[in-house]
Amino acid sequence: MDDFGATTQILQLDSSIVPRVLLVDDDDLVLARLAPLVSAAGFGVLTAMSGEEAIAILERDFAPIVITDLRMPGMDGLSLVRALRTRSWPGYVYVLLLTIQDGEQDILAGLDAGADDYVSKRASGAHLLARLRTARRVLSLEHSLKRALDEKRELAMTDPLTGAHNRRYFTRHLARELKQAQRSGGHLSLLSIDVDHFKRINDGFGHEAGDAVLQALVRRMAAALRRDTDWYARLGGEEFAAVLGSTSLVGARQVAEQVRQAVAVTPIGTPAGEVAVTVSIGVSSLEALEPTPPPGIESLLRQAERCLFASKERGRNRVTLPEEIQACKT
Amino acid sequence: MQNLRSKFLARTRDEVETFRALISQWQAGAQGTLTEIERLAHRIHGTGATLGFDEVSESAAALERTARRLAMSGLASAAADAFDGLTPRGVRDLQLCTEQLGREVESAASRS
Repeated sequence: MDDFGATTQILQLDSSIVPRVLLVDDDDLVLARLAPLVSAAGFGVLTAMSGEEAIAILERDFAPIVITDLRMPGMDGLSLVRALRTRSWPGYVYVLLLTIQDGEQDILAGLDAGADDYVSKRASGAHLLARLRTARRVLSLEHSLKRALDEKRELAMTDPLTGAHNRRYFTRHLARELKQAQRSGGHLSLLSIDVDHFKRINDGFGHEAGDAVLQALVRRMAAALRRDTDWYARLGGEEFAAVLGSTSLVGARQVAEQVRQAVAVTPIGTPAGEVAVTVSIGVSSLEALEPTPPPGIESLLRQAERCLFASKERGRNRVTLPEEIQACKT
Repeated sequence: MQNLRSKFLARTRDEVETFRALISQWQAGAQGTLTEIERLAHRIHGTGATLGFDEVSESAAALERTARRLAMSGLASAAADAFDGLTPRGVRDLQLCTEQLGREVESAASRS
């Protein structure tokens, strides 16, 4: 359901994009002729009177289509195309040369420099607009490829059963968040969460029920976490982690207790009937670790797992903090 | 569009005057005038085509080519090309192109 929502949102964003065209020509009469023509065809229009100005405008205000004259004082069209191709931009820049220098040598030099197409200044407005539609087709192909790639990346980071982030996402993003907390001297806490006697649930109620339990657990956990600072991942089997940004040990204990209660409060409905489920939780926090050398995510994770183990030892369905067991201090 | 076209014709009419002056300067030995003629003629060539003035554009192209040819031939000024009692050939070629351009501008103006 989440996947569907995300896709719809992307499609809506896409249709709201008005492709922008940057017109570059040193004659303001040419710009005054082309700007209304291009704008009437549904494109946003920017104008520049030299290559230098074109680059400066694109850096401020990106346009994926550039229509440029070849001959201009200062940076000419060929140098502009080369400069466009050597820099990195938010997306592909489709370059259309519009010039009266339409001898074969000029056209080849332009295409060699990196232009995508050319149109003679002798061509009609309709001809230019037809070339612009080609540009739009190429760019929309680029958009859909990018979107497909983003979706694949997202899928590669998502657990298909519960829709939670997976271990790969967890490792990558926790490392980033830890570095940020260490740089700013802020708090960061981690909950290691494990379903109690999950094997018994699977064996007694079947795998379908086990899957339903994991899905319900993620929903309850998500509801107990705070939307703006916390996130969670499924690390494997019945093992989850919640990362609590800007959260001290005191705050983390409170959140952990809420997660524990949210799971235990009522049995979970499954195809095989209601199942009473509890979780054990181990807490770790940046402030509870030795500050030197700066701890990595392994130390944070190891501390939380030791505390989780202690929760299991102490009878399950409970939260354990590092201070409650000497061995948690690493 | 109509407004742009008349602006262009007015500007080009002024530029025909500029060409006449530049050609005299070149004849008198001034440097850099061929480059300026070529640059201006190229702009008329391109913008004329964009605005649909094909004949104006073509005659500007002829002037552009002539200026480029003279510049490439390495003549520093018309003086090197001069001979007694007659107008130097390069000057005459530039003048012919300029007058042709002037006529095309007037003819386009009378049509619009």
